[in-house]
Amino acid sequence: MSVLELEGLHVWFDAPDGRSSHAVRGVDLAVEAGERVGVLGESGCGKTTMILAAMGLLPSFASVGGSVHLDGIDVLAGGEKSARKVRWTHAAMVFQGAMSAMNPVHRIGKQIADPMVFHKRRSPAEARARTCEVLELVGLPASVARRYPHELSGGMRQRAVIAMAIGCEPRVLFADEPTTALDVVVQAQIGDLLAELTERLGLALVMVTHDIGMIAETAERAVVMYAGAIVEDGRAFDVLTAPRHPYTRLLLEATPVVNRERPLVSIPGTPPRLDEHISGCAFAARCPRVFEECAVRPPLLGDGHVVACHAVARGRLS
Amino acid sequence: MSAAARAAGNGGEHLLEVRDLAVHFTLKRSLGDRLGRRSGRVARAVDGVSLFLDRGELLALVGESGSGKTTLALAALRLLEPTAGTVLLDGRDVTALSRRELQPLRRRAQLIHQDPYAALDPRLRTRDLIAEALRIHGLASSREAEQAVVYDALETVGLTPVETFAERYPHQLSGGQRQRVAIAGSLVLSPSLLVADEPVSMLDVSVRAGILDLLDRLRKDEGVGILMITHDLATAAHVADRVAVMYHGNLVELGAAHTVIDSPRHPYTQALIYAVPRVHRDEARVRTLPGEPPDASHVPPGCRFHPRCPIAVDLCRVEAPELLPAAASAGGTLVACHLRAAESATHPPREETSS
Repeated sequence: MSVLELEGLHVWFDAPDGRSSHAVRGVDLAVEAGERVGVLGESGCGKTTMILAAMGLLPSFASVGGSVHLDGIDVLAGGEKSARKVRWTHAAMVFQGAMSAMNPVHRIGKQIADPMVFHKRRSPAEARARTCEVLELVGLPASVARRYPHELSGGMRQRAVIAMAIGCEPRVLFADEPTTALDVVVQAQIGDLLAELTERLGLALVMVTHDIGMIAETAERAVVMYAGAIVEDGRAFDVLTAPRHPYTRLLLEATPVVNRERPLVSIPGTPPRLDEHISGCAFAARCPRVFEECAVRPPLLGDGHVVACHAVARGRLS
Repeated sequence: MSAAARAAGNGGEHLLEVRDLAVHFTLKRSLGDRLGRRSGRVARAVDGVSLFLDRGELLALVGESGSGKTTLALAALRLLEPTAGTVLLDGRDVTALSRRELQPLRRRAQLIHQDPYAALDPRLRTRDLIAEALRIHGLASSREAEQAVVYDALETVGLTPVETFAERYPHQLSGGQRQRVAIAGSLVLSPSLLVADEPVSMLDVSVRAGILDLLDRLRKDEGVGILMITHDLATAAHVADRVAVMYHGNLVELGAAHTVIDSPRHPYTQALIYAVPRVHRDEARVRTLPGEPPDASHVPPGCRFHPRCPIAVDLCRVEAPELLPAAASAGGTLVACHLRAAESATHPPREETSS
């Protein structure tokens, strides 16, 4: 059984004036234990909303449809109560800004130990011992436990946040742009650390990022999102070297690559607004190859490497 | 030949020339400093940098956060007062000018900020945002003339139909469009130098290429010299003629973009390039650089990179290397490394050639 299962997930944000934004439009995603998945897409395509929904972390003005199963537990059915049951112990999250993810007035050690005391019912002494263990796992000296967040550099702080996340031995680790705020050398260190930890601890990693290189180096599977839906899903190497969806192709051509001579392109137009009603293929307005059937929303088709595009399904795109 | 003269090339007049520029900030004295009657510490953000930029050239200044890239650029525009060194714009020393004398030169050198969301006044329409600089410099003779210049600038940056975009407020524009407005605002002054501080790092990858193309066109068609600050080597590789790599307030490598990216000489540049994540990687990933980015208030003795350097020798801990031609490098890359320079101290030193 998959450790994370999203089925027909929809998220709407309801504005006070009665308008509604459809941020996630029907996502099906199953992640196996130990699998490393990179979720790719532009800002506003629903990647972050999707993983927040999976953790039951959406604000109260969001309405959620479909189902989320984490480790077999239905996260959405029991409201906050069942969501609290899975947080930390079944799934944990590493947020983008390591600076704001920690409480500035508590020592690092306390912040790593607290979830273990509350969610795993560990005694303070056990929690302290485990804190030293996880600090070592993320490559920090045990003395860091005595420090405050402001005393650490950005990279060390992100390591501490990861230590916090793995403290309660979750089965799934969500990471939302875990390296965006960091320098390139430190980015590489954190990417390596995430890959190594998931391997050693048998964790599933779901990493949301707009950095294609990061996915290539850290993930085994790549999922491309556009306008709240998955448009391509397959082995990271296949998706990134032989993309099939026109959007993925353009996204890759727009990305500068070291050591490769080719002109950069930009994708014309902008993604659809979330409060717009979308019928048919959401990418049709920006797509270089539009056919009649694009007026109907394309299903995800394929074997292993799936794509939501009529033209690909009919073999009209090479 | 001194390092400064070498970096400046063979005489001639450059658009921008920076010689031995230093910017030091005195930090507030801590309680400990005051109790111990010590003076405040000094952060040496930029410490003796020399480089030049020609008309129509794009030089990428690359480095980690805190390496001094932005400080160097701000000091070159004299938006920060340099502690030492000189800055020549079109051969004229701007470090010696008073504020009033500086004013006419300001329009020749413009800055594009990183964050197009913060750089534009949310209460002004696009046309006023762009015309503001014209008014400050007294360049608009009439409303009609002003409008013609504004429309022209909007056309150049690709915001068409210009009549529609001229009436928009910043919140009605996307990130890429805002950055175009910011660029249009500098262009109306017909600058010869543009300093672009991370011009695309806040933008989605799908619109980055458009902004980079625009910068490329400006230098090719209008001969604008562009100093682009970036931490993204892949972007630098795509658009720059030359790349200057900064570490801890010093230049560590300077050369033609393709030479620096394809065959980096300085161990820091090599680490930076290996660290860039990529889809196609021929060799197994080289171990990432250990350690943390430097702190400008703690300058290690000798080469500033030696605490993180995988090849450091005793000399590196004592003596700071000068920026010298690199050994075994075509294309004349300059490198500040005892082990990688052609006339390094590990070989018998050559005679200093005087020129």
